[in-house]
Amino acid sequence: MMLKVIQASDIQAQSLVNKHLELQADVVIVGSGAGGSVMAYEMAAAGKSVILVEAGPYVPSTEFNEKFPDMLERLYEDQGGQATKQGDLLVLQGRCLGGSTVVNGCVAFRVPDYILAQWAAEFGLENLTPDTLKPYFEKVERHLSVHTNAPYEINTNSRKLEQGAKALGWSVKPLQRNTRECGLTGHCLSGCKTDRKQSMLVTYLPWASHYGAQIYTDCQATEILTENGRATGIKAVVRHPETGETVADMTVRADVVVASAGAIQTPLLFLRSQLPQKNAFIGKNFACHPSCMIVAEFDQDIFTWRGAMLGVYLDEFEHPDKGGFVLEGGGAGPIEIGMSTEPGTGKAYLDFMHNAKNYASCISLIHDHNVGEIRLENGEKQIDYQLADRDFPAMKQAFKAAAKIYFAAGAKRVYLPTVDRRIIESKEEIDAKVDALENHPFALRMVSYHPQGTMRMGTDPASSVTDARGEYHGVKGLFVADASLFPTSIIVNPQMSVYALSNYIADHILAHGSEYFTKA
Amino acid sequence: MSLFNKNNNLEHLVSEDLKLLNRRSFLVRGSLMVAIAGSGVLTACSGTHQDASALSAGKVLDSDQMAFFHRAVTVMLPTQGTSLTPVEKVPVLQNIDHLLSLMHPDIRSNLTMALNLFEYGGWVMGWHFSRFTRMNTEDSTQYIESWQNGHPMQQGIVSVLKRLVYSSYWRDESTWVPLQFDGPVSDRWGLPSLGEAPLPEYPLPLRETV
Repeated sequence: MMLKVIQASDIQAQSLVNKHLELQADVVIVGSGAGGSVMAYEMAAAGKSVILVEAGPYVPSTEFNEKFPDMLERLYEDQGGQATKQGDLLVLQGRCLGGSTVVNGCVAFRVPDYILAQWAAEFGLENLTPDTLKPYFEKVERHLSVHTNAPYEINTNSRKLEQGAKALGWSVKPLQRNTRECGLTGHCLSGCKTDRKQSMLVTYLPWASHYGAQIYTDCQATEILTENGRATGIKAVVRHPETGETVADMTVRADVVVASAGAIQTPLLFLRSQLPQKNAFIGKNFACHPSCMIVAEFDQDIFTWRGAMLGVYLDEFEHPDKGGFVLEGGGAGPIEIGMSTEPGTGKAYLDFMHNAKNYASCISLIHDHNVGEIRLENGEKQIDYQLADRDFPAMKQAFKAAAKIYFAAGAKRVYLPTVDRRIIESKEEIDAKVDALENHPFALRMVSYHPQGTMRMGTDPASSVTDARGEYHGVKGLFVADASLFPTSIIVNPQMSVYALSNYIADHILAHGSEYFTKA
Repeated sequence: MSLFNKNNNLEHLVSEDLKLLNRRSFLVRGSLMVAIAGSGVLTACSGTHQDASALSAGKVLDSDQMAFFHRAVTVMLPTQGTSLTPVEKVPVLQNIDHLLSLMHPDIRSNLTMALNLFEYGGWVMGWHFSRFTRMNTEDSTQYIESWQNGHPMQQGIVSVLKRLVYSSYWRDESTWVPLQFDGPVSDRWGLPSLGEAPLPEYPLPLRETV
């Protein structure tokens, strides 16, 4: 086994003077998700000394028990309870070694070309062309066994989406996923017990470890250190993962600091730090990439939880000019189904759940605008986000498309993902039932799996937080490498784009090593 | 599971929501008054519709709060006469207590206040001046649904209450059998771990493209 992890218990066992740990490296990386792990591997493989700190615990896959409620508590931020200020939108992020790559649905997309064109036009990111990024995507896709779903990886649930879309003449395609010999358990969101999902836990982190990267878990970065306009390291605190007791303080001195803690934690780290130039856009422009689950009832057994969790997707309306949304055939267990819609109270609810095996489900993802904000209030995080009125039509269009697809595939009824009871009994009711929706807090049952945009890239320091290669405006050697860099939401699942972008930024740092590293 | 985050007290939320309010303003203002008047935490749940006096306190819920949730569970999960796992055989209240114990104390306090609002809302909303826990099952069901179709704040409160109750029931494995949900399968199927992926060849010549 290549992966070596230093946990709070290991540090506790040391006899530290004043419970303080002083470390040094060429590069210190905060966060072990998609951005941080790729960065750690690329740097370590290039011969740089690397320290990676992860706030969450190390949970080996042998401890994944395929019970979603248990794993929510062990692997997710705020034990699965991270929510917006208003409480009407859950933001599900991994908080464990490997981050969200451990608990995602394995869906692998490249950032669409039209998004890159928008970034170039509006934010000056002319360096991020499809041609420039292509070799990076090819590399990470090869490393992570990305492949197009084979027929056996498309379950009955996804077949319903495919059947209905084809009946309507709409484009529907198999998804690509980063799995090896998928076990078809349907338990992706609980972590892959048999290591078939090619998360960071079984790929880039062990590889980084092989090249000497030191990986600390239970270790939360609290401050970025700078001197004379250069990054010089971080401060962190090591806490016992169960009791929360402080085990040690840590200072890591490094020539290069890379923040890869995700679109919520990265801006918080910057806000907590005494930076020479506090950029006004830190934490701003948050896009939560809201997702809803639409459920349809069929006469036949679907068993939406059986087989690969995500099989096909509808790309007919992906381009913003056509709607700016995708639908993904996504399976769900009874807990998720039981909270996806409002069928009524008491007997009505139990009748709904009694038919759980007859439901098909899909997930909507829209190209939401960056209207939210991550900020500190009395030292605590606040996630402000309310779906913008201008994004509501895309959400409604996604619901209509899903309903049309399911009725075309023979559904008896469709349940809208609303907090109040809205059930569509026939295709003739679709427009009226969906058009009646109003955008207000608690209108929809939304979940965010892909927070983005709080440290946006751009060439103009007056409108962005980092430059076109992820370096913080005004502090040499301080980089960001995660989805917070995205100037806009990218419609599709972001993990591959984060891997590729992180690799691109790593190559930039290495190619200009003399500017950053004090030793060759 | 959090309805209200820390530093975001209910009164502030309500005042914000009142700005959005139109025809239901009386209801929410009235509910707010009840919440403010109802000091303590679900303190008057004794004498609930169903005697739950035997309920003991949990990790964070006291016995009165347990009684409130007991009533909510009874109304929301009437499993008697269905093929679903009898709710009495599932530790729903203990699971609710566990979920609440995971919350930051400030969030839990705000949530408790919100549920207090729900408990007493019937006093001013035309429900025969009855608290939720003293309503009969039919009224309780209609009361819940009136909140579900009410002001966004009401929707939020009842939505969180339902989430707590439902997830605390369905997380128990015994509830999966009637649904034919398979639960954990890897061990049962004998799926071996593939372990770490092999180390890739390095380096790949990309650096000059940056």
